[in-house]
Amino acid sequence: MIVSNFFDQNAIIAVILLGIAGGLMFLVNSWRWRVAGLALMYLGVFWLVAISWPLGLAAIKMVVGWMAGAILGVSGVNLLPPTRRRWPTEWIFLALAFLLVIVAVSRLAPVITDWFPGCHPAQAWGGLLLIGTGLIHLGVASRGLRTILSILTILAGFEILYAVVETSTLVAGLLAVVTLGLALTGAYLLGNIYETENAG
Amino acid sequence: MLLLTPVLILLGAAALISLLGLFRPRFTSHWLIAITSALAAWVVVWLLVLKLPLEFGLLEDISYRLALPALSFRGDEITWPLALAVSTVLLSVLFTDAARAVEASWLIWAGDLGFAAIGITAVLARNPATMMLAWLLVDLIEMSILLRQLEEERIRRRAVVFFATNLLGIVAVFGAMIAAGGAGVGLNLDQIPQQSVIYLILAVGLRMGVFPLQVAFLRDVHHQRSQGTLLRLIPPAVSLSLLAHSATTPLADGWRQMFIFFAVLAAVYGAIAWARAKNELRGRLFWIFGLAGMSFAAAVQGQQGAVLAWGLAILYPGSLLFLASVRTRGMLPLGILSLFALSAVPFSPTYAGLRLYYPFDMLLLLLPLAHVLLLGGYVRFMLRQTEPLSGVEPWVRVSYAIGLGILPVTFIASSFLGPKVPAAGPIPIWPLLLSFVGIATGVVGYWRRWKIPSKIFEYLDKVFSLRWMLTGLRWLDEFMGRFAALVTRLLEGDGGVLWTLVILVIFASLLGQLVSAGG
Amino acid sequence: MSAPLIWIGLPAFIGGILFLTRGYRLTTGIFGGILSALLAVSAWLLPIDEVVPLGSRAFEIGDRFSILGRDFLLLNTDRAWLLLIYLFLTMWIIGSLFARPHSGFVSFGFVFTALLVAALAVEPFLYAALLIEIAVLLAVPFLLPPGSQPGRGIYRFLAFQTLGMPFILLAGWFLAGLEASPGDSALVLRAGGLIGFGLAFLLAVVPFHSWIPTLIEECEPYLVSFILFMLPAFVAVFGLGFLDRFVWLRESEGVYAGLRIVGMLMILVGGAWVAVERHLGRMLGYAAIIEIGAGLMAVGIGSSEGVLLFFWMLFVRIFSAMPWAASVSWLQEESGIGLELPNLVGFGHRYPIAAGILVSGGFSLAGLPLLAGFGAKFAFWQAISSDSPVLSLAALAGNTGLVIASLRALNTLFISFPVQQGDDQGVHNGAFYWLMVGLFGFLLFVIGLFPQVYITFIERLLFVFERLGA
Repeated sequence: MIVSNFFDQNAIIAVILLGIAGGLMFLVNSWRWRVAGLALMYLGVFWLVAISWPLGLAAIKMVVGWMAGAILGVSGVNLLPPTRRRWPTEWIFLALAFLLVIVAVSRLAPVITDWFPGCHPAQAWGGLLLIGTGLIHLGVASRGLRTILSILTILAGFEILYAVVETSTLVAGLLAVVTLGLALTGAYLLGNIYETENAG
Repeated sequence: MLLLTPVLILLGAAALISLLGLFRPRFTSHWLIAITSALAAWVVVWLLVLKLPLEFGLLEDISYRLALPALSFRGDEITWPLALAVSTVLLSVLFTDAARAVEASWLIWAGDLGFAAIGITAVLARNPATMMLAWLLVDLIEMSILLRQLEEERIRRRAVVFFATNLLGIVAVFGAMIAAGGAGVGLNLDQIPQQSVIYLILAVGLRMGVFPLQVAFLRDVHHQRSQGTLLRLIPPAVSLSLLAHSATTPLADGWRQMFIFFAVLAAVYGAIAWARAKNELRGRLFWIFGLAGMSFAAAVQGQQGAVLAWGLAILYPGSLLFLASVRTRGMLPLGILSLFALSAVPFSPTYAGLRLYYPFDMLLLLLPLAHVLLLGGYVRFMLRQTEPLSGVEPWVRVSYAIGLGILPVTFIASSFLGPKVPAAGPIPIWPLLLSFVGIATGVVGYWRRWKIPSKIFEYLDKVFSLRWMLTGLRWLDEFMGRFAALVTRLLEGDGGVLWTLVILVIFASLLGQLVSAGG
Repeated sequence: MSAPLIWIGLPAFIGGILFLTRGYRLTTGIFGGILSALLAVSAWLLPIDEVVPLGSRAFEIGDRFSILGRDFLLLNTDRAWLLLIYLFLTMWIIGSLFARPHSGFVSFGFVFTALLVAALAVEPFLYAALLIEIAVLLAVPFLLPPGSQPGRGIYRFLAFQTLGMPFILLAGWFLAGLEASPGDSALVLRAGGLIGFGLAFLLAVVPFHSWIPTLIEECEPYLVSFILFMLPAFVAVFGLGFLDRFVWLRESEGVYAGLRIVGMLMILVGGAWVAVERHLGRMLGYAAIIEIGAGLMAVGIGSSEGVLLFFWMLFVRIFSAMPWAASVSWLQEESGIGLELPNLVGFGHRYPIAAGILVSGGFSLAGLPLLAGFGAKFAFWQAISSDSPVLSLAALAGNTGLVIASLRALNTLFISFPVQQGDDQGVHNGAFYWLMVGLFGFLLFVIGLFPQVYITFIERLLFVFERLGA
């Protein structure tokens, strides 16, 4: 109860964590930082989900998310040549897009709290922030690690919002299976890129 | 079932000939089987006139909750003359084949019988499903025969384009069904709703090559006599049934003017090209265009009888000329009889065709000219004499003469003995007078050796052959291809998801407006 | 013994076993075909939840299977659907013997189908979204065997299918809220919108369709076609489940108008793109978009006739789409070059039957006479015309794109002669090839002629929906 209150009262920290995580995954080139961003994101997800769910159940989100990060980390992504972003045009564009997401979230968050009774404003902010960042990320990435990360980000954002209204263990389990499945699929695809590029 | 007896006879004979040809290579009487069955079918079609109207349906269930395609046939004053014409042309082809034995084989005879059987099936069709099925069968057979025979890529491509326009004709029938459904009724050839008739006339126009004029697609495709004549003449015949049925429903005035314009264009251009053709086989396509244009105009004018009169003129007098590989002075009476049938003078079968000029329309003033040119070309080719039949047995000569003679005789006899088509309005005489003036001018011109500069014809050919339209279509295809490639690159490229979101927003706002407007 | 075990558990198990024997391609294919056919026959013969006497004994197949507190439920009325699904699987497996996709196809087919059947059987039914997602995740490694370079298509397939799931799950929560306060129009709008978006992602509704042509270009056409056939079929039936359960959806004219407009849009977009497409595989993809659109338009009629039409078009699609996909794959394998039309000039002279089936498949999907698709499309045009003739004519124009595409294929494959002389002699194949060809040809042509013979079976599929089918 005390822990739950702590999460509730300091939920803003989780939103900041999610913002940093989203920014890391979106803006940074290094795969290590992106996977670290993913881990950070799932920490934030755990924090916000714990407001509505028992701590043990909410922890599943974090554990599964970290496992997903680990799977992607050992998938061979480290063996692929790094992608370079053009400075400063691409960076400015991405930073502006990220800013746009934040502005949009500030407008939409009250609507979401209205839609989901009992939804903490931080949960609405966190969920929408991840969904928005994920969508923009998906919009500018067509393949590779970025696509998988963006899908996971969108899904994590949804999971925060869905946790407000659904507390079923089976759903939590199935969503965990989906998260892990996505990570495994992503790892498989990344492995294939490495294999074919090496063969070529 | 009685109605389909001729079809069954022909199909049975085609199957028998094929089996014998495949498994009894020494068997030589294929022609005898073919001619016997064709004669039997012809006699049966004649006898059917005593029982008209006749109907036959298969798997029809009009009470079912969805419209299921079923086979339905009807023999009446529209379809019977066409069925008789197809069976007569077949008989004539087979009779005259006796004189062209080297060109023919069991395969060709079996094909002729099968093709004619499907042709009869198509003209007897009563509902759109049966009609479309039969149309496509005719088209497929025609195209597969053409693709087997043609070797030059340019001409093979034309055959495909022609097949494509025929398919578009079928799509237009689907359009007619939708239009009828919009009016709250099912499409039935007995009662065609006004909303559908445009699509149906468009379908026939596409199939007959009249709308738009498809000279460029069909030119040089086929120059054979016996099977070539069947291949060229049966497809228009199967469309004529629908054209005549469509004539009962009046068209909206704007459409009417446009269709008349295209019909007159086809008739005049076809007639000019026919009159100037090198020989009757090269001109065969233009013969069809010329008369199909007149038939088409009759349909737009709402004159069923006139549609049939000009439509049958494509088949009977046309076949006589195209099948007459041997033309001697002794055969001239047959030609004159045929010319009489085509002349539209009183008591000739095409006399009823003059009803197309009622009600009067300025554009129709050009049609008597087309008629005169068609007659002129006919006389020109008829008078060209060839070597007589030599080195053949006497029965071959008799068979040949019967084969040609049966065409005008049947045409004239069926116009008197067949069921009468309901007609509206009087038969105007002025087109006949105009034709006489035209003929007189032509005779004087011939006598005074008037010359029309050939450049005019070349120019006309350039315009009417619609090669420019082909170029335009190619350009449109390339433009569409480039546009599609551009959009595909956007949607499937790196920023595809963002573009998807943008398009989604546009669609959502449009959809919202459409749904609120009631869909 | 329960029905979910027979038609979900058993196929999943068979799929697992056949994965182990995938190296023996022909044997696996034949066994897979037989087992799938047996599953179809058992759906036909075995009643669910009824006592069946067997000699002196009797047995009963239960309708329920519980796991982790949730139920999988297959009712006696679902048998027609099960029969159809396993018939489809049998057909695709038989086709794979001809198309020769990679060796795991048969086992994948079983597991994928089992997961989709499970998605429709699970209670509460919103969990279906999760099971569909798992099926999609499973499809990825099968679409892209080890060592193949993943392209944009597979990522986008994954992304769009995954995005559909949250919408459906959220819609579920709103729907539960609606049961408590049925008159809440704001809730209705939210729930309807979420369902619409969810299904739009899953059904690849325009503009979420871009993964279809890309994926089919990148992966084996036969595999992608299988997914493009099965997945939308199940998702559509899942969507029909919403209409069946919720009266406010079922009785909303806006829903049907929306379905008609979106369906028309899909046919129009698919038709416009397929008409100018020059890649045989991508043509298949656009044809799938057109077919999904036609299905939506049929449901948009808003009566049991519309649902009947949807099932009818689905039933006959197998006889057009599968042979078409098989011949495209076969042609790709035999030619050894890409499926771009300029590479295939004159190939019809070399492989006349495969090329002929390919062209006929396209014509059949377009609903031209003499072919499998004719009867259903004939009834379709007639049925949709009374509601919205303008939309129907626009859809007809889109459908004509498919005719043009098939003519383009015909023109390339048959009209020109191959560049290399002597190539047009025809390739002679064994009895097995001719058996396949005979089967495809027979089904492609015969099914279209007399729909009266099998339409009563299609009608039984309406029982799957208690209210919608009435």
